[in-house]
Amino acid sequence: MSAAKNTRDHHPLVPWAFLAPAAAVLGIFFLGAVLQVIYFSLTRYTAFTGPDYIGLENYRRLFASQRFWLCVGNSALYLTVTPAIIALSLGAAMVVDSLGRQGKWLRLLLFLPVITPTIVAGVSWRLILNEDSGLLNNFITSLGGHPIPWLSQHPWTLLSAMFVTLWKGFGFYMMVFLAGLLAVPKELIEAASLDGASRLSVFRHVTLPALMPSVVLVFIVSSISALKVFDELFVLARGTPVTQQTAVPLLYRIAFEEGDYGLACALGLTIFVFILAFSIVNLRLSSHSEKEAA
Amino acid sequence: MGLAVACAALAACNRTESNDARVELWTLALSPHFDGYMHDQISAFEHAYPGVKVEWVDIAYDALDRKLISAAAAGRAPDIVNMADLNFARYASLGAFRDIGNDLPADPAATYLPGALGLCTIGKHLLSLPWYVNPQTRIINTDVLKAGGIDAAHAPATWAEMMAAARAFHEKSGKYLFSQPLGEESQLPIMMLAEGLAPLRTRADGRLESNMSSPEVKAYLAGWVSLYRDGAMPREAATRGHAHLLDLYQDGRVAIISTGPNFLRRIKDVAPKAYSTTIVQPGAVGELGRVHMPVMVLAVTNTSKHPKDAAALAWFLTAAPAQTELCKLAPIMPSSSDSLKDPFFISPPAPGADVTLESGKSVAMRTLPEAVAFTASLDTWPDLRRAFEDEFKRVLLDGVDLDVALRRIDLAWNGILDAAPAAGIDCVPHPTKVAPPRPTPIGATP
Repeated sequence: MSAAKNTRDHHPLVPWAFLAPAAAVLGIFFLGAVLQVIYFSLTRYTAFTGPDYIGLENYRRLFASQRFWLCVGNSALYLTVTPAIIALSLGAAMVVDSLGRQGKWLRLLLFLPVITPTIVAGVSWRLILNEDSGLLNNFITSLGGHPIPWLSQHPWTLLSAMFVTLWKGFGFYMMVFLAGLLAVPKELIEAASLDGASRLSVFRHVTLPALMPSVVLVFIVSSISALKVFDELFVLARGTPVTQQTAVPLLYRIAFEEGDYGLACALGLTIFVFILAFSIVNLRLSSHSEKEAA
Repeated sequence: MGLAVACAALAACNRTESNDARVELWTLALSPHFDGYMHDQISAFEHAYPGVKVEWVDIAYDALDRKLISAAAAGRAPDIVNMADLNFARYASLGAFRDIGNDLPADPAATYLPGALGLCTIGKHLLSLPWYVNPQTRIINTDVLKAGGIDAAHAPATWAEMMAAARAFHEKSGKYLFSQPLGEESQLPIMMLAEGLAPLRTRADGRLESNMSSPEVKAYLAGWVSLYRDGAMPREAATRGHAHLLDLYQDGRVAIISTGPNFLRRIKDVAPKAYSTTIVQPGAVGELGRVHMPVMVLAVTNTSKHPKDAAALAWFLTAAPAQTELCKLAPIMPSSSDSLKDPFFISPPAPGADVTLESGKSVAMRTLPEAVAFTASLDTWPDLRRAFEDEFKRVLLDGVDLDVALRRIDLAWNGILDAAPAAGIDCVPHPTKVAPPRPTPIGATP
């Protein structure tokens, strides 16, 4: 009782004082930057000339350009990596979980790509996927097949980058599912088994509903990562037409190769709005299905 | 050096700025080989311009874009920056440079080679000064050439000859006769100009418009597309820029590369075996018979707080004495007309000198007077090139029909040109036709 009283006796500004440092940092480095980007997106702005207000002209140029829509289309295509990541990481988590203590080496092995720097992974895969001298094409031609232009032709370039994203990311999501599996009540699984439920039924009606919060988390996080993908394409698809890229590499090109900061800010905000809307829809749909499952 | 100081002292008389200036100079990939040279030049300049302190920063070739854009965005751009001609046009289009036409002590037209000075003037504004130049040469691996059944004495010398021989060479040897960036950092607009083909034409109202769908340009580009699709050129020709030429040459996968003789030293260091069978011949030419000459420029940024001192430094470094000294240290050529009269460029090489390097120098020297920078002095040129590269890569890599791509290029180019200030056709190099440079007899002393 006395502790509760002491808490109530605090000055009302005390919580704000504790929040102030974090709020200041976020305000300056996040909110300030966001407001600046919104303003710059309404200007003609290059590194050598100050921002010059032009209204919505950058947005008009952006939406009128073919490359923007092609890159957005590629970003949408890249999203298909998300269900593959969920299926693979969930499958791997089930296998590792079923192996008990013996699964720790497999878990370590599957987690290794996560801690490999993306650039290192990208360069290694670039060597493997090299169209003239890469391991994969050598293998395909040794079987009598034709070499595949993994790194230069649409849609192979995108598929190669998606594969690297998958390879590099699924170990992390596997760990999320492993943590989720710990929370699945064992007694429910045992009860279902005693009632004669098959393994598939147990998974579908007991394990999966219990894992839904993890599935939602992985779905949202991996979708956002897929929409923001840059490193893989930067390393693997360098030199390919911009129409083989996704939205963020296009942003990089507009900002740092064409030097058009105003247009780049407009694109950045468009990507942000798209990801935000996508996440909100995801969250709503997922919480709805979670409620239904409950 | 004494002459350089004297020139600078004369020029210093025109100075009007305060005597406490700090001028930041960025150069491209000169350190550490040219540290001594740069420190000497800077000391001489500071001696001639008391009170002006030069801060020299050397930037790796690949890092310039990133560093310059970041520095400019942070309001800390250098006063004077060294860059290659293609980058120069790009930054000029961003409004990065100051017109230094009125800040110079003498007439630049009387000082620099016209083929080099031409690209420094955009819309009648002198936005940079030409520094050293690298007339392109053909660097030939005689062993690889022989593997494809071609004798070094009969190596193809024009782009048309190379295109004609490329398929049979590849079929016979499995290697490539030559490569050239076609997609990324595409050299096609340059080669088109060297062939005397006009990528742009003048409209009835006097403005420029695209000429890319004309039958002659289309036929020319179709030749390259079919060569690439037939596998007679390496895949990297579409996806990688100039760097792939050196990589393939050093690996012994290509017989001829067209580049500056300044890269001979790198080949010697990285691939001594390839270097041991290397000879140097004049650069591949088009119908006009003129070798393309990439130019390094020095430009004063429009954010410079001491633009007159920066212009003076650019003038000092590009003056004949300083350029001659620099050329003595590297296989490069000067853009200053007076440098070419120096005995260094006329006298035979010293005994024991590296024959291949000397040959590179002598070949470049021989082609220099007729060489031209086939780069349009248009601030929209980088945008036009980018639009071309985007579409042409799709033709090479994604199988897009050339006609469709050329129509798209026309649309994109006309949009870019219409949105920019009017420019005349004189911005596009269209020199007269000359006889192609004679090849050096095999085994001749440079």
